[in-house]
Amino acid sequence: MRWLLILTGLVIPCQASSAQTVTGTVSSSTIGTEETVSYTLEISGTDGSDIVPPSPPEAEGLVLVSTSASRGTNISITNGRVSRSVSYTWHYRPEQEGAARILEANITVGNQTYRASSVSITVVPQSQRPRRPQRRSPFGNLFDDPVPNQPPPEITERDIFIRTRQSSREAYMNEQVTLDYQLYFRPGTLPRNSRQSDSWDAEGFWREELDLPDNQTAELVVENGIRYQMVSIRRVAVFPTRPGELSIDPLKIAADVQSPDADPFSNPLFTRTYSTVERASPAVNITSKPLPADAPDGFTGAVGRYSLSAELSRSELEVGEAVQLTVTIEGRGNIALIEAPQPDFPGIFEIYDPEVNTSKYENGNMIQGRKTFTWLIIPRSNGTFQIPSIQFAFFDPSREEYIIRTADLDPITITGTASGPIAVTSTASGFPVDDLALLKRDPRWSAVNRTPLHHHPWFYLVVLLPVLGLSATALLRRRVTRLATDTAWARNRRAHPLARKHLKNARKLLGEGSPDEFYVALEQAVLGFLGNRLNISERGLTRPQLASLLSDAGLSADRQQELVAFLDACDAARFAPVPPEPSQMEEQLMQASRILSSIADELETAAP
Amino acid sequence: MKSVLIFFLIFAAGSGLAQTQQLEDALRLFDEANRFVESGNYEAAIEQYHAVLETDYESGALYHNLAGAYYRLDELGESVRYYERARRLLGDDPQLLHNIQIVESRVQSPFSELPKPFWQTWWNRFFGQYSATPFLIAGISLYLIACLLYAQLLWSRTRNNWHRRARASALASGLVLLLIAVVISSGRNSIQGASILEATTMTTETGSIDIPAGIKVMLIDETVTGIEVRLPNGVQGYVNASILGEF
Repeated sequence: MRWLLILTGLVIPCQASSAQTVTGTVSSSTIGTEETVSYTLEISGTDGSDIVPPSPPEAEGLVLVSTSASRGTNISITNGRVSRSVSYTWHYRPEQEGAARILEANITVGNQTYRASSVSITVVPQSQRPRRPQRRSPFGNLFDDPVPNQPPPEITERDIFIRTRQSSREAYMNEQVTLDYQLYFRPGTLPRNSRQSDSWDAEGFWREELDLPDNQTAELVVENGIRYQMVSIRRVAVFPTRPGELSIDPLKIAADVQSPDADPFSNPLFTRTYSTVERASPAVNITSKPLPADAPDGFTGAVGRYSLSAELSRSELEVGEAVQLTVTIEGRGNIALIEAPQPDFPGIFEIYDPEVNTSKYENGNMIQGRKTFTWLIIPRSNGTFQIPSIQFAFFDPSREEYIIRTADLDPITITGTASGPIAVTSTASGFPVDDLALLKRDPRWSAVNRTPLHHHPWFYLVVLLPVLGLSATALLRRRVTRLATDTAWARNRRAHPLARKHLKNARKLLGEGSPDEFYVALEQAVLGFLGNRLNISERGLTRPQLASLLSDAGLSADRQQELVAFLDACDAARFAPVPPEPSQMEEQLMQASRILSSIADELETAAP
Repeated sequence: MKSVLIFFLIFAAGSGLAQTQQLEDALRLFDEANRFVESGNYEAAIEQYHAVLETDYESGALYHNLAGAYYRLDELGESVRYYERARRLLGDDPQLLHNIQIVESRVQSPFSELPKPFWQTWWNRFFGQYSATPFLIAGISLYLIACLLYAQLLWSRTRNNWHRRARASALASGLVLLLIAVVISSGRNSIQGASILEATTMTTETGSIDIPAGIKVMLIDETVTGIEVRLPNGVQGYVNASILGEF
């Protein structure tokens, strides 16, 4: 809003140039057919001593009233600076309505020749021009009737307008473009009480207002041959936030101005007549280019040119004490939009949100600044830890490439012992927030065994052995049942064991010298075997009955005779008055074994 | 026969003494490692924990504490690896789950995770914290009881409803418990996956993917070009075997 204050009640001295410049200006760009126009050739930066008097410039559609020029000298002191200028003025009269032009004017200063550009003039019918009051003495007619009120001279776009100067017509996203809104007005308009008359928006841009100079003075400029005073009324830095063709609204102002053609003596009290005019700047179009696609990791959209630094407030501390990590990003660009880097803190630190401080300043209409991020971190465990390097990536539009800045940090040495979870830093379960619960003690230890259960043979044994036991139980049960129900099978199964038992008993009796019991045991062994194998009762069998049964069982006649002979021999020896010799008994014991074996073989062969 | 029995008894006693000595060594080394952790000497602690593993004894706490020491040294891949081993022995232990959550938040996986099958979630919820041993003992006991009841049936022809129900239920529950024991044992003793120990690039059929350290992958196959693995989001590719930490 400072520009409004500057323009309110504006009486701005003309600033002359100290350099040698030549300008050609006309008193009015539009004249009536009955009016004259004055053309002034002004040479600044000289005292006039070395000027060769110039010739009046030629004109098209205008007639020179007098070839002699009126010469003027102007000396001004602005901000302690002295500037001089010399002017030559000629008057022209229009020949007809329509466009007219005063051609280029040449002038020699010293040994250099300068040229002023041509000036276009529009000649209109005199009826379209405001009536000019008769010039009169300011003191002669004070008591005359006042001059009837005349409508104020019309103020056109040529008398006052706004021009926008933009630093660039295209920019990358987030790259700065500076807009300078400049108010041009003719010296006679004397604008005052200027204000913004409508809203102004820059959709699609982040904008920052730039300061205007505190003691801004109007600058004298010549546009299209007309002398203007120019003052900046607003400077804005805009940053496109999206790619594409973007447009910024015109800046509209209203100001109270006086017609430059108004006669200051038309009013007997010398009061000025102001009228309110509205002016708008042209709309500003900017092409916003997207950033290149190969953005590095960690790039968050910063555009400009920055430096990065990082430091720790201290590198040695105890568990539970705080340390600050300060990361500073400084440089040219939209510093307000820069996001905090993401340091990769070791897990033992309790991290608090960073404190952010931003300071901005301008340097040659460019936004610069510094942004600091300060993290407060508190270690919960001891040891030496290294925070990895801090990285910050940005796009440099001047080099059109991404740049990564890196800042290294010293390792942090933490001593002391953690005093356990603090209430505010522990979870409901008692574990530290954002940190490990370090140690655990578990009494359950086991041998390292990487072999799954089903890869162990014993597992299958454990599963299969009961099944085998069940099978054995079933077989045993079947055997017991048969032994109980099938007498013939049972006696047959017992034949051999009983025979061996009797033979063993007989051998024992042989050693004891008991011939009677010896031969009883032999007969029991042989006859018991036959009884069990043939499922008959061996007691009380006669020899013929025995022979018949043996024949039925399929025993050969030779074997029957051998058996009968053996039984007879046993009976004879048993009842003999003299006991047989031990050698004979031994022989008969072996014979009994042979007979049993032979009978068993034959019965086995004869069985169906 | 008597001499064989004496030899067996002496051998069993000697073997038992040796195992007791090994376990005592493991516990001593474990306590020393824990003291290193408390004093902030994590490198020494890790060395000592690995010395415990060389005694052929393990526990959930051992893997848990070892993973924590690796985390302190910012070796996220190793930390994830040993926390997963601890999970096999500790199941859903609250402290373990808390620590795993902390480590996973540091890993910042860029991959979405496919949902696990419902039965796997249920299994972990009900059986994740148990070892196979109790199920094995209970299963074998019930199985033997069922076999004895069947033997009684075969021997004495006992036929009544109580006996029939008892042997059927004992056999069924015994076999189910044995099956659970086998599955738990298989899960705990076989390689479940691997942790990426160092940030690497995985080669896929369509290009390559950057994988940060600490990401868990499933092992699929071993080929000439490397180990074929599957990321949490289901994408498969090949990585170098040297950056995989099996768990």
